[in-house]
Amino acid sequence: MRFSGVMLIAALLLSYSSTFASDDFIAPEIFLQSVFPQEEPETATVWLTGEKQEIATDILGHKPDSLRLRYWYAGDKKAWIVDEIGKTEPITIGVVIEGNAIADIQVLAFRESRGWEIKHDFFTRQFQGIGLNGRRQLDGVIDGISGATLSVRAMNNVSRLVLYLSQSLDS
Amino acid sequence: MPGLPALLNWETALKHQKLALAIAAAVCAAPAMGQAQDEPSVAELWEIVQQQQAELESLRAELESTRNNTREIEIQSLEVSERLEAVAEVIDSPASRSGSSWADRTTVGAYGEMLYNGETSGSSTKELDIQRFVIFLNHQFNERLRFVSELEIEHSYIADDARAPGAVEMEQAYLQWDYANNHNVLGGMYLVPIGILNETHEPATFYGVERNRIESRIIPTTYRVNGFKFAGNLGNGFSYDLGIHEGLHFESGNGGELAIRDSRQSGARAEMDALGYTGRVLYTGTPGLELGLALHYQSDLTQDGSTRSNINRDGVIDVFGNPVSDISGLLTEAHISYQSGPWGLRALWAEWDIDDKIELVANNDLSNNGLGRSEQSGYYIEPSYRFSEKFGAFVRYEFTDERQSADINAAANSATKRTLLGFNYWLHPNAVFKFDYQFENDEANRDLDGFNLGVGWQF
Repeated sequence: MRFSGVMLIAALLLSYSSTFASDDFIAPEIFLQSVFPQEEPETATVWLTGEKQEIATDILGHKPDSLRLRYWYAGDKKAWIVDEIGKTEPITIGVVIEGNAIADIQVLAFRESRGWEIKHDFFTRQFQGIGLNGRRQLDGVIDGISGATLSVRAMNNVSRLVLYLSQSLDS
Repeated sequence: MPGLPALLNWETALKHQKLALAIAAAVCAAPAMGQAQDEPSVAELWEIVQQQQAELESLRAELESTRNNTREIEIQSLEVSERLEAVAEVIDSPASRSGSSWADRTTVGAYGEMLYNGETSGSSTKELDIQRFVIFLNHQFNERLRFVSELEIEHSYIADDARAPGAVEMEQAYLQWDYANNHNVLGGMYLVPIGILNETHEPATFYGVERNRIESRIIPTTYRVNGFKFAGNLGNGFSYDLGIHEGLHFESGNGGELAIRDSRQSGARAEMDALGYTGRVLYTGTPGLELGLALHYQSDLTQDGSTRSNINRDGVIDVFGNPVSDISGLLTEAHISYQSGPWGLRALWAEWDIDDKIELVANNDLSNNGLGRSEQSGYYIEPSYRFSEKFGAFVRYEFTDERQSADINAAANSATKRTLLGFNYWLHPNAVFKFDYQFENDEANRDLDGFNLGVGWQF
């Protein structure tokens, strides 16, 4: 039992000694301010109907949960905020598209009990500069996170979806 | 814009009317040219102008009415568009989609596999088996509190019959509470945080039809225990787990009861005279890479020499028939799992260091079953290559020895070595067909060469 006490104290100390700031939730306004620091972006919506719904279903592996997706834009830059289920809970993902490629991607809210690694820069920076190939797959390699396959898949699919929608708006 | 073509027609008609009036005026202003018999009189012309004026007024009124209708239609169209946006706003809102009933916060999942073993498992027959059928049932009470459970049926058929090898087993059933940001505690039955497969073993997540032997015999996957566990992120890619839980329970019996795998209590009225403790540190701060180090300790693997309450036999006895207790054990495990592009690598080493008292432990017939068991270890290395999203191949070398500290009598030739070659074909990211061929070359010269096939699913 003495060992149990030692472990309990160790656990409590570890939980209070974490040195990194809590980054479980980034408000959408904060995300958009970081994307458009100099100007107020315009906003518009894309209706996921007809062909767009079919392609979105193919990309996500399920029918989209929303009828529309809102995006913010200024110049050549578009910012999207999309919810997608990881294993059981929705992950809120912010994606910035510039031209035909991802300029930045951030996890605004992560609600799963595992797979927290996808929130961090060492994972998300892999998406920078990635675009879509002719088969609507990402045209670069994203190394996954062991034990977080479904969260990584959600990030990949959302990236593909917003790249496709951005291209469809531009065309 | 509705009505616009009609409006344009009216405007054109007005222009024509104005032109007609102008011509009529020109005719009136022209000097008489001596053709008094064909020209209309002034009175007739005035009548014509009056008629034209009346028509003009009528056209003007119709135009005004059309303009009003068009404006009305535009307003209605805008209202419909605004209402549509408002409806979509409600449907798309998080409150609408998250749902307030318990059913909306409850999820069901599953995994399972059917395996074929071509005399490769040590049995004398070929076997085709629904090895496991697993249901997950989870519930999210709120953002910080959740229930997680996993129920398994093994080998499909359970009955009081020697031909029914099946079992129903709880593998997880715990409440998890995020008591601080990035830290949580759970209580209930959970999977011991050790090895690669013990916590993540859905069929589509690993190569090979069967689980590797190290994570079956040395780490008794699926090693599930009742207890409590703290876990959390430390930053910079490091995370930890600290668990306090039920331990293994050695007993003297009729055969394999001293094997690590057969000493699991599996949360079934588990003896708690000696607790188990597990601590693990993981590094996942580089995409595709996982490094793990775990220690698992128990002060007395005999549970103070007790006997399981549902089995009528002695606890642990030695070769002289004397009771034995206070056999401590420490399991150390380290692993690497790496996937970068198409290349993959897994390697794991695990070792038990058990009190030397076990060397004299015996079965009920006083045969020295404990000989050689104070050291048990194993390791494997598994490079792989993912040719495409659907197809990947691997090779794996395994070494296992459950009676490593002695090489005489029953402990002689206890090491097993095997090499496997095979592939996975993913019909879908969550559905896989597996094949492997194993070359068994162990010290006991058992002929276990053969192939295995498997089908697995998860959702």
